[in-house]
Amino acid sequence: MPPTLVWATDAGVDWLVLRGVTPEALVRLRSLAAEDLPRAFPVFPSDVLDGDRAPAGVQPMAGRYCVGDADIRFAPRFPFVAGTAYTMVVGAGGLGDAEALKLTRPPVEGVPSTEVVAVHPSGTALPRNALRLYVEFSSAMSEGLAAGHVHLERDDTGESIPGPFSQMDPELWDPGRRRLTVLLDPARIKRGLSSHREAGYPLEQGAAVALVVERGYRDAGGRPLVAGHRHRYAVGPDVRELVDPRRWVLDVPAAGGRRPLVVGFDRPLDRALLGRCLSVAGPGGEALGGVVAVAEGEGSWSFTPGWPWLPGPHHLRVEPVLEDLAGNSVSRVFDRDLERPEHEPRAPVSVAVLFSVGGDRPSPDGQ
Amino acid sequence: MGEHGLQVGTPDVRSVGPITFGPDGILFVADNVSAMVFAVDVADPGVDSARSEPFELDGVDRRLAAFLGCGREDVGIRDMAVHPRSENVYLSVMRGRGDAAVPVIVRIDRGDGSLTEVGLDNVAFSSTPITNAPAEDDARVTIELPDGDEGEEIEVRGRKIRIWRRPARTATVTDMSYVDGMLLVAGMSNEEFASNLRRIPFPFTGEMGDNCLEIFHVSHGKWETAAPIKSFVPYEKGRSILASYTCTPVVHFPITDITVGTRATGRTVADLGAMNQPLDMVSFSQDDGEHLLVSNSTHGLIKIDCRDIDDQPALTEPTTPVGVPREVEPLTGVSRLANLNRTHVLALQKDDRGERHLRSLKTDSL
Repeated sequence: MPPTLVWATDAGVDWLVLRGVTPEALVRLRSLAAEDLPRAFPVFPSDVLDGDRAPAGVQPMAGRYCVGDADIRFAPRFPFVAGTAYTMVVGAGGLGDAEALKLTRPPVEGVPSTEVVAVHPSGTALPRNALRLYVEFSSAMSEGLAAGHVHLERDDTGESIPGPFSQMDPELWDPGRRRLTVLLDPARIKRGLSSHREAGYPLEQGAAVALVVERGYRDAGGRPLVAGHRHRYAVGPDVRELVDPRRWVLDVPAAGGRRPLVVGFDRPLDRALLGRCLSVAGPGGEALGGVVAVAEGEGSWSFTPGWPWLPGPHHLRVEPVLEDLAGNSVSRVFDRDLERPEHEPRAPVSVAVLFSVGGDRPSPDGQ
Repeated sequence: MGEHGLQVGTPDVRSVGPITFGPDGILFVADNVSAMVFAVDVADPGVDSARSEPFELDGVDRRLAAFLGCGREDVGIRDMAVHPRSENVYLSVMRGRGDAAVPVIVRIDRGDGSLTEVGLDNVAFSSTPITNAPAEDDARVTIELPDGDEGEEIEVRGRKIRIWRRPARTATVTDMSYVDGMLLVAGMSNEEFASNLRRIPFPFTGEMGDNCLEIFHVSHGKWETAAPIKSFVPYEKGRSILASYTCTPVVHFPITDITVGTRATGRTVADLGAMNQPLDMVSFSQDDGEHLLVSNSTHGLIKIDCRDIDDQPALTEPTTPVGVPREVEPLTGVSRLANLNRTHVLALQKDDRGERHLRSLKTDSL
């Protein structure tokens, strides 16, 4: 039988197995020192080879060898990669004519199951100086592929917009690797910088764009998405002012029930920050437990308490880092114009909006 | 408890990102998945070196792919550092992707170019969190009503509702540097757009403390931003920092004079050009004093005399070239930089075919 390679799994270890070695050769190999086997039977990922030859000076794969009764086995230090071809150069150690044997790992199995479940902002419009987008997936994704699979295109022509994003190195993910943060290039948004002067904003007011997530984007299991995703945005004027909670409209529920408090914003706010920058304190100043929801378009936020509202004064607490779609926060404008007093930064402390639960009308009052 | 507060054990390193050497050959490794920095005694086997020779290695991606047993596209070099005594080269590498991704620290022997894995089992190490991650029961953790059966069921006054708690905020370390008992860590949030430079005393105490500095910078005297730092280098024996930002300006600020909780504004000393991102920086000495070398995504290497930084007033008018005088070296494709020895800077350089090589740049010739 000529020498052949096969895969084997034994006690949870994947082996690359060389069969067809003569019994005499196996006897001889058993007497070799451990460091001689990698020289005699080096294994490489096939794409690093020069044709069928081991590249000069390049170390083979780290791993261990086992000379059995009828074969030679190699277990890599790092697991074999699905769909990758591997080559064992048989006889590289002077055991006869060197011969390169190649075998490919089975590809990833299973049908695609991961999909894009949301893109934020979820509304239909962005300011021209929009800073940040989020793509939410239904399962964990692979890292390092975003730049090749997420792009921005003109809505009318489908033409790709060149260089709209900040370099995605490192990529910004949530701990579960299900939400990707995409920053539009701040150097093109921030006024005065050469990128802004020469290349201009990534977006153009009046020219609708679409964020496109390609189907070929791989999830953590190595499978593509169920389908690609496209989210269209109209592009409106710049937004450059502090997020001011005094401009919000509060729909305050009556005491005794569990109807939600609904806070309407004067402009859409950042979806992720809305999840943690707003909270409600009761008459005693204690934080209330409950469930929050953000409306489609991020134009309002609601809080349903875990138990009925008590009558009396309440506070909506607003963290100073809460931003709008253009990166302006409660405490500072994204690129503050030093000559505009209304851009003067606020102290980076939380802001309380007072409202009264009871028969009274709500009266938002910033402090 | 050993020297520098290290204890023998197996650190739970889930990913590797920026790396830098500290005292006595301790390697700091940023793990952006677990939001930790590990200090690891890498037990470098090399001999102390007072060499002045260069070190070159062709085809780094190919060598790593062969050694790690994967395709070249599955080799993610995250950072590079040089052991200060042996001059062995350390790379932090993510091997593979997704569930199959494995974090690896690879040592390249500067003598023969051989590769070894730096084992992380039973090593002397310590660790510190890099962010005050919100606790599971923090009311400010994202809580949502899920569409499906995800999340957890809680009972509120006899009613069962299903909620989904997601601590979704992460801090991603973009660069680190060690100066005189202090690890400086620059990072980005995946949510708010903010400047974030932490000073973490080493040995680690386990306490995060309030050590986060917010550095504003002004563009052309008119517009002020607090943006994430992408890369930075301490110089003047750690008294000054030169930082490049995600929004590209190069900004100087003194590190010793900044007090936590006060408003600090750095001095923008250069704008290195449109559609260009400064990638890495090192400082080195020549006969006429200290210089900085900056690698760039678009331009060649840029050399800046530290005295010019001191003399450079804050930029007020857009002019070309913008800011501090600089020399552009005809070397493109360089991403990572590290000091190899007193006479050479080590560069990871990509050629026209996309292959990366280690190249030594003689500091006298820069």
